[in-house]
Order: sequence, then C-alpha cells, then structure tokens
Amino acid sequence: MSFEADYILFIFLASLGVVQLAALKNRLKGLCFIRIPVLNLALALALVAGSFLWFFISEPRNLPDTGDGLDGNQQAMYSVVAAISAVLFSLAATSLINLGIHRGGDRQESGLQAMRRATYFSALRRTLSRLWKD
Amino acid sequence: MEGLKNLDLEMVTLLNRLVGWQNWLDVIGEALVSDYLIPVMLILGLMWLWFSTDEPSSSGLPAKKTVIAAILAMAFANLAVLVLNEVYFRPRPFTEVELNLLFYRPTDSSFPSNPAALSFALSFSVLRQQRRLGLALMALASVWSLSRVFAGVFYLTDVAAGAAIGVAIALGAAWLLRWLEPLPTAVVRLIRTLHLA
Repeated sequence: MSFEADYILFIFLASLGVVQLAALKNRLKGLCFIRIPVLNLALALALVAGSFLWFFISEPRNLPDTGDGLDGNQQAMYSVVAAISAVLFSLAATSLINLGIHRGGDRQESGLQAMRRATYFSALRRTLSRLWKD
Repeated sequence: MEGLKNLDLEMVTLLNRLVGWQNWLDVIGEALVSDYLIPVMLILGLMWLWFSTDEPSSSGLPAKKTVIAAILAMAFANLAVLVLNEVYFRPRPFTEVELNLLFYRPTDSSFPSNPAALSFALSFSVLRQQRRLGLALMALASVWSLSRVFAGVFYLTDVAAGAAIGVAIALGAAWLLRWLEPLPTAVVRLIRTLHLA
C-alpha cells in the first residue's frame, strides 16, 4: 500500500477506537460495536494501540515531506477524511449491529445522548419525523 | 543578539549530544519527533473531547465549541507561520553545526517552529476549557517541540516563538468565536439536532 493509504487506514482505525472509548465512557449503547462493555473496551484499546503499532513498526515513517512523506496540508486533509469516515462507519455499523436496542418509549434525549437508548439511525429518524410534524 | 544566537546553538548542540548515547533513547526520539505520532495523538484528543464530554444541557456546549476553537486556532497558526516564513528565513541548526540528525533535513525556515505553533494552538485552546485533557495535550505539544530540538532540526528559540504564536492565536480564536456568537452556538445546536454532538 502507498504511504497515503497507510496513513488514512492508521487514522481510520485509531478513530474507530476513540469513538468506541467515548461511547463506553458515556454509556452510549447504541454506538458500541459489542454489547458487553469489557469486550468493547478491549476492542477499542486494540484498535487504538494496534493502529499505532502497525503504522510505526511496519515501515520507516520519518520520510521527508518533499519526498514520499506527507506535507502539513495533505496530513490535515487525510486526517479529516479518515476521521469522518471512521465516525460515519461507526454510526452505520452500530445502527445495524444494535437494531433491536431501542428503549425508553417516546422519550428521546438530544444530541449524542440519544444513543444511550437508540441507534444513530433510529434516533435520527425519530428526530427528523418530529421536526417534520412540527 | 549574537549572545542569544550562540546560546541557542549551544542548547541545540547540548541536547543533540544525547543522540547516539543510548539506542533506546534514539528509538524513542525518532518516534516522538515523527510528523505522525504526536500530531495524530493531538487529533485523537480532539475527537475524544467531541464525543466523550457528557453535556445533557444544550445551553452551554463548551466542549464542542472548544474543539471548533482548536481547529480554527490550528488553521490560523499554520497561516501565521507560513507568512512569517515568507518574510524571514532562518537556516536550520544542522546547516550551522554538525549534528546527529534523528529526522530528515527540512528545507523550510527554522523560525518560527510550525509544529510548536500548531500543537500549542490546539492544546492551549483545549486547556482553557478542559483542564485535565488540556494539560495532557500541552505535555504532548511540549515533548514534540523539544524532541525537534533534540533531533537537531530546530533551535530552542524557534519552538519558544512557535509556542508563543500558538498560545496567542488560541486566545485570538477563542475571542473570535465569542465575537461570532450566536453563530457558533447555532452551528453546534444544528449538529446536535443531527445527534452528532
């Protein structure tokens, strides 16, 4: 793989791990890949630590930005793309994995907190339909 | 001025003497000085702040605005260093004295340090609102900046100036966000309506 692809994959995997750690901290069950917290924590830590270890051990990474390395602008652009992709992947994947978790009747919290009782897609669907009715 | 220049050169030579002393220190140094280790940790710190902060109240939203301020501060710090590099060029220390490099040979100006400006802009923005995370990110920014001196690619005054620029711009970005109110709050509320904040 090219250096750019390696870098994007590195940020993507590490971001997946950070989103999972945040979901665990805030008890956002609808955003967790695994319903058992200790296993999800292990997965999150493995994603963060594994991505760093893989990126730095697999190849020499101190490459000049005038050569095969990335300059600051490329780094910023690829980081944003990879981090946003990781968030979108997390939202989509956990919405499928946790299809049946919806609880709490008609009550829905705002923002990320909604994912304590629902998946992202079901929370978004309810919010949009409520806004449409209003 | 000449005295400061000599002191700067002495400091970088002194720190750089540690390169090659112990193999493990070189390995750690090479990792810390990298363009990819600490910058990625700083970005992940911002992601953590965005997603982990428990803010049931929709009135304040300080953590999300802190992330926006940090991103703005980094962009402005990058721009400021770019402009300063155009008007003033300082050769890198390895062009003045023989040093053991742990890093590739950058060709742009040494003064002010772009890594220091960006990392301090980000970490100081966070520190203003989130003390513990901010301190951790400030520590990372300091280690990254000092590792560049240790690796022989910056003078101490380059990173000090970069850090000062970063902190000043972080304050400026926070002021700008306050001045732009209620726009930032409206943006965060919109993102929050979509359950992304």
